[in-house]
Amino acid sequence: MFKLALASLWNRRTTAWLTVLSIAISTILLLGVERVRVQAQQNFANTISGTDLIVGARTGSTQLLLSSVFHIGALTNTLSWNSYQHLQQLPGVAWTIPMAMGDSVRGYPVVATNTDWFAHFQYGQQQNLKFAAGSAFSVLDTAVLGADVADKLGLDVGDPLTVSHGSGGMSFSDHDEHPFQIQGILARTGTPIDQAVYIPLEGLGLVHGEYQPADDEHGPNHEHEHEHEHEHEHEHSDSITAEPPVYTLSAVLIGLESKPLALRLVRDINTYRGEPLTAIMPGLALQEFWRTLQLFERALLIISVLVVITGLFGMLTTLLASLRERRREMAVLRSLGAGPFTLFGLLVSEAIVLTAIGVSVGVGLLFTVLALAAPWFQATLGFVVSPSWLSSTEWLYLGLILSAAILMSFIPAWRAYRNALADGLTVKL
Amino acid sequence: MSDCCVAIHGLTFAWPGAQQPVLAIPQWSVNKGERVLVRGASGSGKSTLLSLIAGIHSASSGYIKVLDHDLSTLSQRQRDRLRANEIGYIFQQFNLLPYLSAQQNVELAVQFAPARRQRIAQRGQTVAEAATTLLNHLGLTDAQQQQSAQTLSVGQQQRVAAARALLGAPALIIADEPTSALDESHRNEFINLLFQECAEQGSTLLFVTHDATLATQFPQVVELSELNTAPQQGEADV
Repeated sequence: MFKLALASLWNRRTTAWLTVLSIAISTILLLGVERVRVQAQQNFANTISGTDLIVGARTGSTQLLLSSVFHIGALTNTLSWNSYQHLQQLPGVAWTIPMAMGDSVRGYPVVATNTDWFAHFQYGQQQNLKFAAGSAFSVLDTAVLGADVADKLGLDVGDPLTVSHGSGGMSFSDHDEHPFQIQGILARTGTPIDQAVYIPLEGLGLVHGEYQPADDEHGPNHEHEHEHEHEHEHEHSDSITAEPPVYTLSAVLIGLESKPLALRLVRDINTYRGEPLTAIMPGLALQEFWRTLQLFERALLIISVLVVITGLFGMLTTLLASLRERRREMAVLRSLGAGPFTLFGLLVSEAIVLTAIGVSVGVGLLFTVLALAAPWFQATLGFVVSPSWLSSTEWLYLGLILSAAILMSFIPAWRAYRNALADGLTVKL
Repeated sequence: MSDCCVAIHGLTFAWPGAQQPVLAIPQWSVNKGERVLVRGASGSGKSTLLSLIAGIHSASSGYIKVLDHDLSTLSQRQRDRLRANEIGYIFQQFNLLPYLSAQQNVELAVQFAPARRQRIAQRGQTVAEAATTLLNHLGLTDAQQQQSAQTLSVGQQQRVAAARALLGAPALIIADEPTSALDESHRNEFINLLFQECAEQGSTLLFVTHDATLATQFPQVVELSELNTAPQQGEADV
């Protein structure tokens, strides 16, 4: 009987293939959206780990998170060097990473920091940063590039680098008086880290000293030797130094000795009297931000579900239309003793065959597309799409598509059943 | 076991919702091994009678016995099974599934009919062998038997349909105007072949037509208008 269904379908292969194709495309869309959603969330959560608090000037938690971790948007307010020193001395603080942002290299954000960045920053599953080439910056006019920046700009260790003021792609105020030399290139992380340039705080102080002497302590008359000395000082003592390398920072990442301290510290920092500060817990802030994206995510899911339904309706239409031209076939089967229920089963099994092939083709195409598009995703969105096998949710979706198809096929099957009883062996052609 | 293949008593049949019956046959029977021509004009209820005998529709009153089975006491499923096992049906035309070969079309006859398979096995043949034998008898070459059904001529298609009806020796062959699409020489040849094969297997033949010229070839001819006492209203032939 199943063979008969296949032979009959093969006889109508043009429409059958079209039906398979529409089901395949809707499967790709549904699974694709699901996959991007899950992986985006994973990538998102992987951008930062091990950091217990992010502290910035008084601002919204999403803004602080996005600008410090994702380099999206700019922090208009800054926190002072004094506050940074205060944070370092808080009880339970294991390490801190200062971050000063706002400059760029040909559109890529520049993060001014110190070597604590390479020592303490973690992403993914508590992974430390690794160098693909070179090492961390050791003197103030050296820089470290993220993997993508090095790739895109075609730069290598030893090449010179000019930092521009402002975060735009085109800047009229290049700090070309003070070129940096590339000392290291980070290994790829699949996070926004790949898309940034890292320079020492002192380097930033120097270039900004040139540009805005009023803002920073480094006047144009400062000697390079002095800077070296200063950096030495800084590396040796994280506590009070006479002259800070920069007056203001954009954000400070903090690691704690024990995680439960975080809540209390958040309260302490938020009520700090020295200056208005905001402390956020990155995990919580990520979740909060992800929730705001859920509307978009849901809209995508709804659209793809509708596309699946459209695909199934296409199949329903085809099956119903085929009933008319197959009345003769049905009458012949009926004359051979096929019961009405057999004809019902014939239609349902046809729908199962069409949907199963459609879904399989869709899954096959999805993996092909993912394999082909993965480098593009990585390059343009900094987003790693891993070609992992179907997840349980995806299996569930496939099962739902098949069940919906079977349910829908009951309509033409029921009509075939009714026709079988009413028409009998005569067919009005 | 009586000699009756088909026995009808006090039969009336009306379509659902209709006031008047289209068929009312007080008494009629066909004995085993007979070759009966039922002649009737279009709209006289020929096809309705056949679908009642085949167990597709049920009589409104009275009974039809096919091989001593009172159809009114059988369930839908049992009637389907009886038809599969004991009735070979030949349509006017378009008998075959176009996407199967001639041989596959013939073999389809045993798909729902275990009794037919059994009878073939008892004669020591496989289903494929039996189908080939029949098709050879009916004059289809080996090449034609493997051809897709839709590439055969109408005459060849009707012979394939006959082979399918005959496969596995069902007790009753019902032919519903099987020759109306054939020209005269093919028609006579077809009827002769059908007679031969029915005689060989001992099948009863119930042949329905509007064509009075075929009457001379049949030993037994029945006018449906004489059997049917229902008032004729000139309805569509359903």
